[in-house]
Amino acid sequence: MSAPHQLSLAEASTQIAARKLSPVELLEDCLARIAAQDPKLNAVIRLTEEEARAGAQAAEEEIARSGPRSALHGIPVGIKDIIDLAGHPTTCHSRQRLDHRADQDATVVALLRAAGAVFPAKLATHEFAIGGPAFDLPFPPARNPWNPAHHPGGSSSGSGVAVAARMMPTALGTDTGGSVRHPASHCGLVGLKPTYGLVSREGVFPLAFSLDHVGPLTRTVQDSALMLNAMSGGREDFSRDLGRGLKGLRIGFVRHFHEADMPADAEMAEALETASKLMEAEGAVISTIRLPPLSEFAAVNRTILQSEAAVVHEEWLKTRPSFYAGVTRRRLLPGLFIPAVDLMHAARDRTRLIAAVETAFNEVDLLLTASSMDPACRIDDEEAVERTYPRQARTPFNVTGHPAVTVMAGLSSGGLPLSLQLASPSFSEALLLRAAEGYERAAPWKDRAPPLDV
Amino acid sequence: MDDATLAALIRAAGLEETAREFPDDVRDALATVARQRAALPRSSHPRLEPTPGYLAPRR
Repeated sequence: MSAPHQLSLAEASTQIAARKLSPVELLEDCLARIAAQDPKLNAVIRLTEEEARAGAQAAEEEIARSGPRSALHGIPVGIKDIIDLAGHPTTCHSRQRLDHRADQDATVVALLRAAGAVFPAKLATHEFAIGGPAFDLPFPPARNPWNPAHHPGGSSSGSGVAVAARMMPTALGTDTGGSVRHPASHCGLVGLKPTYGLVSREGVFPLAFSLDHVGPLTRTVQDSALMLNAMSGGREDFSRDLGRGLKGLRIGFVRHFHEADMPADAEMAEALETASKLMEAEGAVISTIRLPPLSEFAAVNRTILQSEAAVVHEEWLKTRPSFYAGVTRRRLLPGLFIPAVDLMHAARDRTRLIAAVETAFNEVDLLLTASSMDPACRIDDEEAVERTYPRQARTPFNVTGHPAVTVMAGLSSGGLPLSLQLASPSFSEALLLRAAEGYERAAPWKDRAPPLDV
Repeated sequence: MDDATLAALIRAAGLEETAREFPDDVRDALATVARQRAALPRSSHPRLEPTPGYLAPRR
């Protein structure tokens, strides 16, 4: 039998419901895993274990008395440290916020708490969800469990690392230009960016209001659906179509993103081709489809993101710029020089880009694209981090708001995860997750874990 | 960019103090924006509306 920390969310939930696993036992095993693995991976900024223990104990008693409230009852969930957890600081991994304390839970945390989840830790992020991995901050950067010398992706770096390293079955991240899907790509996980507005941003420190999304990082697609059920307030069962597979689904493969617009690493490109053939073998109808060039989505995302972030950070950029890491300051400062007319051009072009993707969804049910163009680079290679960070195809769906999910699609010759991305029409997460699960089930990657030594 | 223009833009952004402390970062930020502007699509369509659009609140 697997150690509790090795169980997926769904597996742990099933065992808890059958009284074969207690929430206390699960939490303690996860805390022991954190103690064993985190010193070399730096996923955790702050342990909140005493409250988590009280929550697990209460869950155990309630489940014994009346059964579980939901699939999340007694499940440990990590929280990216830009999301409020009542009574604790939300540092945003920054010296600017070390004195902060949240008075109440973010709405998404409150929904998870109401579903019975427990919260063992606040997790590392790139500073304010915009910096890169930095060594001049109060907390060290998280490292990739597949190879700790490598970058785990970001900005939800600690969330990706904690879930991939089996410290907890799931964690919350946020995604403004791809920040849930980036660590999912580099850590071999499922990273879901739901439709804009489906999950509340109340109590989440903003990066860019009109681009920010909250999403789960999990080890399986089923876990992602279970998390989304709770995070969206139980308005819909997003797991309802899991198991229906890919048969009959029309999937538009956006090849020009990784072949022409931003040529991908050869192993990544090969993984995408292999994945598309596997989807076809599973009954999907694959066609090549064109969208506007990646550079147009990236330009619009960048202009809007920097402008909106500048509003949030203007005061600190003027009064205490030294409190930021250098990389964060350099990413935030351009926003104070963007002309208003450029922001309006970007906002107007966003309308055109949304229309282009909507038109594509008249022809196909889903889009298949690259997520990252490269496997994770070394974390201490500043030039490589800067060069590879924007080499991705995630921002289009922050610009348009459509839901998108990244899943593992292979391993590079260097032993690092490769990935793909699927996107679907707005508010069709059940369809998106059905397709992702159909691929996940047919592909051999679901149970691959980082080669950690404990 | 000449020094007078640079100084005027920094003053307009209210970043004089920051520029004194981190001159390279502020100069790089201006160069970054100049580069980015060239890549930004600029529609001349007069009726193209921005996203998100404004909607009056309903009661």
